[in-house]
Amino acid sequence: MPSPHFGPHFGLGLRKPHYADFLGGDVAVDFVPVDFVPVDFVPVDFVEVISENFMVPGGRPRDILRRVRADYPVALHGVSLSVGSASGLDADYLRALRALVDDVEPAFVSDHLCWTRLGAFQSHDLLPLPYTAEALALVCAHVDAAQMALGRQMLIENPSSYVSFAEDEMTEWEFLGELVARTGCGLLLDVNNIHVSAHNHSFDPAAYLAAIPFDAVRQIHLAGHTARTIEGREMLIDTHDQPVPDPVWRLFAEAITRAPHAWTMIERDDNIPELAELLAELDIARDIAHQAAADHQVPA
Amino acid sequence: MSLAASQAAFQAWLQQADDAGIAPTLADPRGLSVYQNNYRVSLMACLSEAFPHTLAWLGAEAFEGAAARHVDAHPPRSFTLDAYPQGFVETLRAIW
Repeated sequence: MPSPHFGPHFGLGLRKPHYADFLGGDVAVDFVPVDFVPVDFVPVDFVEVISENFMVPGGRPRDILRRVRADYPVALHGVSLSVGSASGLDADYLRALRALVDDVEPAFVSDHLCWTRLGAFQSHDLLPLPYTAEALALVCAHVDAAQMALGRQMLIENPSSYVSFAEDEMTEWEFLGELVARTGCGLLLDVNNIHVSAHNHSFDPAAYLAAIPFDAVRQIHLAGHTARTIEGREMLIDTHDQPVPDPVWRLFAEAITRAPHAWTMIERDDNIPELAELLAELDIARDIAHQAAADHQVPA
Repeated sequence: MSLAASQAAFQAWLQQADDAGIAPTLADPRGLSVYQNNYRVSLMACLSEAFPHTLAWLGAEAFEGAAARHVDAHPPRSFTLDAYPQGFVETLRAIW
């Protein structure tokens, strides 16, 4: 099925320090920086929000999101669906997410290939799954159920990971390919996460990209990371608090060449700079996508 | 190991720093500390952001001690971190 959102889009994650920018300063005073200068329109094609921050009905966050939505398309990005939970999906969570989806009418709804919850325990972290037939069957059943509950396609994002399991029966890209084939879900490809995991698990990111079903890639995330030495081994940590580094831009060039209509965004979650700095970074993404389209004569 | 057993073992690592169940199932267990750090740091940061005045009044060391005790005694049970600071007042009251 072709994407209903044809053509490249460039956006940003909507974060609290930038609420005032997106709403022309019309927000509660604690969200307005002292040196704030209002602009009529922020030059982005969409914004993405963390779903859970807006899933409580009523109140200030939901009001802010509704008003941003009046001017910008919105993608909903979840962190707590927990499609890999051995204890099953949370029906209350899905109902709250469905209500948010009905309210916001987002362009996309996504979450991660991971587990975050076991029974009542919520880790608030994206925990790794073994890539086994058992885990694949479970994740497929949960993605099916989530798509039914939401009445629409979901996108699943590749996570950064720091351990892998001895019992793995397939690679992450094989797992994602099977997931797409069996459920019809789309993919949110985080090229920083590919770079981070490739380093941590010594695989070739080019092999990863070569195997991805790019027809299913609807969104691309760009972010930065941090290197840390852990017990004598250098690991990359997905901190989302740094500018996008060169190796990640190179993966992006390949990804946007193969998914020229994917919606691309900078995902900065910590150490959040002024909006102008992120907009400048987004211009680099536009340039790379434009160049990729010219090189491959893809209508952009 | 079943997926359910594997995730219970991972939870024991996050909550009790007990890696006896999960470490032998991994290709290389050295990355485990990243997950425990993520778990604890995100909860502690959530508490300090919700109680900036308490943090300023107690000082970082005393506040972090109280926050660590809260994290140990009260693992999160809501899908949103926004709910996590509820109940921290009781922990503070129990300490002081």
